[in-house]
Amino acid sequence: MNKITVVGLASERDEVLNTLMRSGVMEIVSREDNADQISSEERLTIEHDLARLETANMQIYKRFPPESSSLFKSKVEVSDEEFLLSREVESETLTRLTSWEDLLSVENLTKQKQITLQEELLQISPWQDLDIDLSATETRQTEIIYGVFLDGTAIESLEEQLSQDCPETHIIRFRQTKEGTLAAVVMLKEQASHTRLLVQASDFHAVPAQISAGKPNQIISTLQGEIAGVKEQLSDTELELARLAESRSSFLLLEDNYRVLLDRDNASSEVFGSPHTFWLRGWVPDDSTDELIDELNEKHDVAISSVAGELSENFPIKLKNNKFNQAYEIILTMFGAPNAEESDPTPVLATFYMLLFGMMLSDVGYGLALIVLCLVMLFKFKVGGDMRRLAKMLLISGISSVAWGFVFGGFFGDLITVLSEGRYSFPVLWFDPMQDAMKLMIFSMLFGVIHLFAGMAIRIRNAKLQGNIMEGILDIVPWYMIIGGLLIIAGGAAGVFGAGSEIITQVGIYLALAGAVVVVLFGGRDAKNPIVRILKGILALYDVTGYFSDILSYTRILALVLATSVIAMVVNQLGFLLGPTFAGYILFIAVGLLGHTLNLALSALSAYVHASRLQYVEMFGKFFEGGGKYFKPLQRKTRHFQIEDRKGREEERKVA
Amino acid sequence: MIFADLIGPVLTLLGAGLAATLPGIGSAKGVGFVGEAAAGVITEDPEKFGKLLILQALPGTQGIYGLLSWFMIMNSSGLFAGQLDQTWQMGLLYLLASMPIAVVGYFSAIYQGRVSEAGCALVAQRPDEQAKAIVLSAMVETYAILALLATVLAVLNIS
Repeated sequence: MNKITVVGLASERDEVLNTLMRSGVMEIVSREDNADQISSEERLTIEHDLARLETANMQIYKRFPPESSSLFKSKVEVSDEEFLLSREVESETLTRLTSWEDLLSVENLTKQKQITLQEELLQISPWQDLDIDLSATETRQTEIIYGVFLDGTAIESLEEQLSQDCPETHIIRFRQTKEGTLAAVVMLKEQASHTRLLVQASDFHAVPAQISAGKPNQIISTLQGEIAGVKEQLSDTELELARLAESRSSFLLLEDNYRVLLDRDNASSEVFGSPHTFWLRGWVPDDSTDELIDELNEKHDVAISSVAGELSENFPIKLKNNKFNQAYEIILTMFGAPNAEESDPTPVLATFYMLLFGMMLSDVGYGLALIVLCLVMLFKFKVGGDMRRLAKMLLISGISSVAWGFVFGGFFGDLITVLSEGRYSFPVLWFDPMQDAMKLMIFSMLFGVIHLFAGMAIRIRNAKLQGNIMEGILDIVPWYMIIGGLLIIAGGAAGVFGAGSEIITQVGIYLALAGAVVVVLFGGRDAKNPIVRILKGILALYDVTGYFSDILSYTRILALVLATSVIAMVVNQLGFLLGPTFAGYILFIAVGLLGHTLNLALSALSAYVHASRLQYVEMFGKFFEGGGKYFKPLQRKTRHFQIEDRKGREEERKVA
Repeated sequence: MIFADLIGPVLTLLGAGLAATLPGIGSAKGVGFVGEAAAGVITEDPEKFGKLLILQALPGTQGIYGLLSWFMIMNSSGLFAGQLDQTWQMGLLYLLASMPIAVVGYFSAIYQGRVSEAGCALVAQRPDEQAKAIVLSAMVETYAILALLATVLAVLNIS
């Protein structure tokens, strides 16, 4: 990493930032004075418009889903020129956005109106075909109200009550419907208020005034006409909306445009300046430094200085690996970033992750299925971002699973043995874990020792990078001797070495003892007092329990191998319950598809989780300090479009 | 066949049954907790479904380990082949061999469910940190794996 300072004219500031964003190789160092970022009016407008666009795009997506909608969204590619929008296009798009919003609110109002009309129709429809004029509500002496008695029995008690209080009142029953009794109440004007009270208390619902303008049939046909009009209006609006939705790509493009613009605005708040000049400072990776300086000098009138970063500055980390190791960078980034004074553990991690994952999912059939799945995701759906990196990683790990499947002789468990009723079996290159579980357990732990030793070697390499290699050697080499010695003793006791067993065991004992002596002498070397130092050294020997539990942890490999193959066997046995008959094969295909898919999903998840854990807890525990941060260059972060570079396709090399 | 002759097969089946049942109950509980928490997160953000589903699957493995142990016991005792000639000593041994996964499987699934449930809250706030939620949850599973190994190795050595 190089620290680059750029000084230029204030008028060129935004242009320089544009160039930096396009090149995407510089991380701007934040200014330390924490000046409050003042939102200009323009920024507020853009933020507001961006929110409007996001809402509209979401609405369009939900309402008019794109025809080729798939589970994995991939970005559309546009060229640099297509991405930059002119003022006219921008304002045109915004106009369309406004009309989209207006149409939506019109549609809402219309829908509400439709609901009201339909309710009114519902209320008036029981009156259909009655030849009375509902608008006739009074004569000279009387008032008339029309409505429904919901409760038939209430009418009689009402009539009784009325005959005492206001005997002139008369109730005319028109019709009995399922809603109740349709009726008109005729009352004298001077008694109207009292009568109304009595009537209302008897569960009487008057026909609302706004729909009692004439004869019921007349009213109904008017309402029906209005509803038809509203429906027509709605379908017109729908057409209009669909027409606007066709130009969704311009909405999406503007949304991405605004997003980039706001990012640039954020960056410019990190830039120092006077009224006429600006200066900014940032980190650029070594291999892009010269190119960036040339480009800036060519395009703009700026002064640039470049200084190599010091390790102690804890500059941002950009991982640099070959294609194979790159696939596994995602495992490291999910854990955290190494600091600037550490080396990149990815190469070691990649090799062991591949081996561990393959061992845990060791099955030729499952491995092939995983490979096919990843290839589909990579080439058919063209997934991007983290999904792409994960798919690449699982693709390589799937190949490793196939290899280990041959080693342990698994093809969808014992599919071939079951189908051929024991006549054929899938060949086993080394041994079958089901037959000899103890053997696999021992080899799991041996494999763990190799993995841990590799992690410890990184500790030495990091110590060397930090300039005190002795520290690393004194911390690690004695443990190589102790664990190696103990392994030799164990091997001797198990009789692995045959005739020379006694001598080799002796060597193991001395090796372990020598290692222990070094730990006691140097384990507490930061203490000044020699007695304290020795005591601390003896205490350091206690670390042996840590190593012991780390190594035991690798027995999970055996457990996962067994889990994968035993469940596969259960599926095969269940599927073949009916034997080699036509119905039996049908059942086998059904059960096999379901069971093996489920087992693949769960076993692959387990392998992923536990292979990661063995890296994070067991191996990283031996050397990883962390505390760094990843290089996040200023670049154009879009959501819907992938901008092609002039140099060709912008590679997906987002710093992992 | 008198009852005394069946004690061996009965004890064997009891062992196998416990190995499949208890971790299964534990996993059902664990997966249940996580499902409830995940459904809550999904009401706010349906796009996190995939990430949460993985978290929910984690406490489910104990049930699988239980089934695996059941299968090993059934297979190695000959019950699968229909043999009922296990002695009561053998039956007792199978019952004892099933204990590690039965007990540890049950409890670890519940505790793992709790960690995964908390992981759902983590994913809700910081979706990028899903891997860490998974690893935290997988730490609990270690002990179920160790118990499974204890059971499987014991079963393989009874004969």
